[in-house]
Amino acid sequence: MTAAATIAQQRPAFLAGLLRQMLRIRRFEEKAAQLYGLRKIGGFCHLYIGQEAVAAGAIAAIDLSKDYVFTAYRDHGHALACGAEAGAVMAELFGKATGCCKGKGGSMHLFDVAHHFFGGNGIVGAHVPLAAGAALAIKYRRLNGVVLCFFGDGAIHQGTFHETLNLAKIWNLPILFICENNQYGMGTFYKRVSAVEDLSLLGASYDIPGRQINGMDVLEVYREVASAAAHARGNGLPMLLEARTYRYRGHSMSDPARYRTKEELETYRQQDPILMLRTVMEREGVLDQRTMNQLDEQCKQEVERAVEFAEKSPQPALEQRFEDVYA
Amino acid sequence: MPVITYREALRQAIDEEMERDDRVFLMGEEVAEYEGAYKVSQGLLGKYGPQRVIDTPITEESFTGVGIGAAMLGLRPVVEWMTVNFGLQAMDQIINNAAKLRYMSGGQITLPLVVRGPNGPAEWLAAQHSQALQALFAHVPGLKVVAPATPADAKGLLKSAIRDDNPVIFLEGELMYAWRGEVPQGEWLVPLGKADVKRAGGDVTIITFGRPLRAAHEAAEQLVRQGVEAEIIDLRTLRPLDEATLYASVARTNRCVVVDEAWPLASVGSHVAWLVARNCFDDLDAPVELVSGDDIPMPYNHALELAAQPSAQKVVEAVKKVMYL
Amino acid sequence: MAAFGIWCLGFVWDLEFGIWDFAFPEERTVAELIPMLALSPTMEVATIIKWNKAEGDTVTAGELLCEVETDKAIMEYEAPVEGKLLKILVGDGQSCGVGEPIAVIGGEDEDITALLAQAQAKPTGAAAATTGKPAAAPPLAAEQQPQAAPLVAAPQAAAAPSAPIPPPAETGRRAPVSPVARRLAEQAGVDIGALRGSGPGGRVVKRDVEEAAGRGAPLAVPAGVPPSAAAAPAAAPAAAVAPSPQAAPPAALVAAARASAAAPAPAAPAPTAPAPGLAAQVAAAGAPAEMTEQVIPISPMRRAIAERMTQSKAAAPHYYLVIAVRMDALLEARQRLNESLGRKISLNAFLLKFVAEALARVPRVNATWEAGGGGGGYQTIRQHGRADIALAVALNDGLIAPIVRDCSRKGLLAIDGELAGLIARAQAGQLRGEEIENATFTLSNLGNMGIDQFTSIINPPCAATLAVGRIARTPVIDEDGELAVHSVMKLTLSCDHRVIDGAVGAKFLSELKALLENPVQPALVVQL
Repeated sequence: MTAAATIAQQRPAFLAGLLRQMLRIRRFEEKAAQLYGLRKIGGFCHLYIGQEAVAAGAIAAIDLSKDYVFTAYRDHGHALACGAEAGAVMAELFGKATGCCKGKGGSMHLFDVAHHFFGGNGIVGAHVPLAAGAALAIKYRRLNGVVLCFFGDGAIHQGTFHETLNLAKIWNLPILFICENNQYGMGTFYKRVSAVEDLSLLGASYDIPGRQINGMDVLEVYREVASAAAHARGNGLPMLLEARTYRYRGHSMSDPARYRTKEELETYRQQDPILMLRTVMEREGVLDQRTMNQLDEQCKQEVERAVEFAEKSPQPALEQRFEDVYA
Repeated sequence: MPVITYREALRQAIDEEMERDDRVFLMGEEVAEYEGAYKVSQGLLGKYGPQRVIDTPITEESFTGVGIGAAMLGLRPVVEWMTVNFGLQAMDQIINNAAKLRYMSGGQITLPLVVRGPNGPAEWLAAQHSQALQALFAHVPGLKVVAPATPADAKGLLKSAIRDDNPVIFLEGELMYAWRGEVPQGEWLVPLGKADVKRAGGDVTIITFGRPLRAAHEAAEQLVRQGVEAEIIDLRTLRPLDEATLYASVARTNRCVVVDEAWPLASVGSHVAWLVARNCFDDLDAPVELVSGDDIPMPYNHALELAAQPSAQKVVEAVKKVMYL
Repeated sequence: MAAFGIWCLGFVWDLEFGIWDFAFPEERTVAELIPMLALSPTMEVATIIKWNKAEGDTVTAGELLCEVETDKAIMEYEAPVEGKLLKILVGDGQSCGVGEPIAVIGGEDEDITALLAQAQAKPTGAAAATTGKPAAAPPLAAEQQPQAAPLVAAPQAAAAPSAPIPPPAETGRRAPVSPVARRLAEQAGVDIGALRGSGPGGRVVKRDVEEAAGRGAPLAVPAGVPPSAAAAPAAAPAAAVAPSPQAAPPAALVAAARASAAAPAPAAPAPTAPAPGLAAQVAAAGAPAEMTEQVIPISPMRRAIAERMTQSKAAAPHYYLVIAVRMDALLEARQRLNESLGRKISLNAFLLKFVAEALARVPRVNATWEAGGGGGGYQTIRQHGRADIALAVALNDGLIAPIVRDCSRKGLLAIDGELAGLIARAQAGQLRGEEIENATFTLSNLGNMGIDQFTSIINPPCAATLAVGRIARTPVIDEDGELAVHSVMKLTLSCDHRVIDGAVGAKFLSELKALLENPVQPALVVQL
């Protein structure tokens, strides 16, 4: 039986899974925004609202028993999609001892090594060579895995991105570079700071094929990543995907996002990734209002439980600050 | 016991560890086909092949990051920087990733990584290629920093560093690669975090590490003629520091001279001098002296560059000062 | 790849298919209060510039709800949930603090009276916040221990150095001594002051002490130990290998080092790291159920108390005076007055009246330290022409100090009546700003809580606050030497030393004591 036929058989459950994953991330992020405003969460907090289809679709397309995920600081969605417990992630945002990183990493530095989620990196672009290193380890140990390396349209101009593409190509590493182009590197429209408007072209100097995909369409993301991952996995052919997406919120919680128009935001809201999948499912007859409401209610409850867990969790003991510096 | 060079001692350590553990591999510029800019990796490509002895393009930041990523998944990379001066390109990877991933992940990540290369002044190379940068690494919690001064320590410490589960910055010296000394064959481990008394004496404690150890020994020979027996302590590991050995010695000698070829402000030497002044206060007969490199970029002219570095004569002068001679 | 293409064909996007309303108001059954959020990292209070939704409108999550002016910028407040905007609690142009409710969002026709009551019950509702000024909160947290009043301003003489080192007679300056020379001289009984130092600047160094003690024989420290001895202590502390924090006490290492210096010793014990916090966590988990950890949001009143008390305690150098007052005569007079009036006059009214009289006699206590608002930074003391006395009133969570103005010109009955009204409105949360601002003196009475005596933090802008303890039947030795039982009350005056010196505060208390113990005399001036 082909993989596609299997998916086709499971289609309703599979689609519902994607829908649920995106809803879960959205509800989590909405709650995080509120709790940030109530000062339960501090520091920088970069929300993923609007971009859910990229993490949900891409991570659904790989096998986390042998594959790995690296991303930058807008990482809540990726951590959740990799299987991190919502409670452990929320507790980490609160800085609690029960957080996935014991309250030492925070919003920008989530890790869940058991689920092959390797962060969570706060320096723009600096995790790109780490992801290549993981791909090198996979190849070195002949593990048949693949690494998804997510980063933004800001990171793509860092020197280490270009250096790493070169290394990935000369060493034939099993890695997918996924640029989440949400249009703005902090407050800067990406076209103002890029020599090319089509960022997928940036792999060309290193003989790495690039492809632009619709990052608001979770099914397209799933399909493209599954296909590219198969090539990278089997043949050590790295690839660059530019997922065109959009964040509804500012760069971080203190950014009012005055650099864009309401009309622009509204245009993207009309292609909302959750809305788009829901539309398709209803047209296919695999989703009704009642099921949708149930899914949404489940996600809200999961987030509520996560908040309750985080609220009730203890602060780390002061002496724990000396732990985990060395192995 | 065979007498071999510092370079050969390092090669033995890498070779033995690669043979012992197939997760260990060597990566860097010119390490494979060229057999190493300083010939440390000579013969290793032939023995282990290109999958384990990997030539990189000139991209310090990224191949250092690749080493960190590979270590995150359980490999034990030995990353060679052709010199530490070039490693400055990779400081973000060292300070923000290698030193912090374990901490920020709440202990989920283990980084068994060694980054090694020559540090410190060489000859006729001027300011960009001739500088002692150990303080930049020793400053950072999460790293271990090692600076061996003898062939035996070079082998024993490198083997321990490769087996350590933490990121270790291993600082060699271009002018030390040809130094010769007795080195035990086969399994020979020197623990990290242990200073070594290289010469015993009761009148003054000279604390140093790396290449200035030689100047300290020369100074000690000269001082004998003046009736002064100097004790020389080689720190060997700069982080974590073996403070106890220092304090035990100064408690006996009551005088202390620290020698560090780096610039004096915020150096390992100035920190050690402060530690001794603070923790041995009631044992001191004179303020702790620091012999450092001059506070200038390294000049090209040979006479000028020699004048800018610690020497046996400068160490003798400092000892006389703390001895009130 | 081809297979993917086939099944994906069925999902080609059709944007004209329409936009879904992504809200499910019919599903929302629980209305909720929507709080003001901190829209900038430093924002405490914000003003709603404009509501983009009206009551009754349907809102979706993420939709622009209102525009909010923070301390930094005008920010957009997006709806955190979807539903119907049932009620706007803070209207256009009104302000409120972070965490206070600004609206109710819920389902159609939902009963929100309970929620509205909850919103109203918040310490500062939207209406109160429109004044833009947090309610002035009084001070008077009882402290555990009275502190000694620094009546003598002169600093204590510095303690003499422990080491007996007389200065050299010829210079009058103390000779420098190296630390080890000082230690060896003490051990060997050498008078270090008699030595002429051979080090720089005449510093007495080790060899000077050694020569004095025994013609150059080394003292205590054996020179030239064999290498094995030198290496021995080095093998000891494994702690130096472990990543010990800098904070780990080096004293142990030093002590070990010194021990091994005297006689090469076996391995020194490694300092152990502090026990991890796990035990504490386990213990916490086993704690009784009623001891649940809570995170309590800070009300504006709590914030005001915290800020004002901290500021007062930090800025005003406090000292405290305690005096015991016999209240027998006053209690008797009050009893008679109550009987003749047919109603009870509160003890606090008497206290306010007599305090006002004492303030008139010692007016410096009725004053304010003024830092000076002008560019010159002049500092002045304002001695007030009226006794506006605040009385601390405990509330459910917080306290407030309403003021009876001009107590010296008011009769006892007027004060009592005014006080009763103020206390009732304080407890109902109905005090107006002018009723709690700018007291000249403050009174706090914890006598009815059984407190014998306590010290209070001065309530700014007052320069003094009086803490009143309970009236206790107490055995007292009378003036004629007889043991008698009296009703005794202890008064503690907290004074700002910048304004009130010890003797002035003492004078005030003794005047007050005299007035309270001889109420007939002040009764002459008390217009009922």
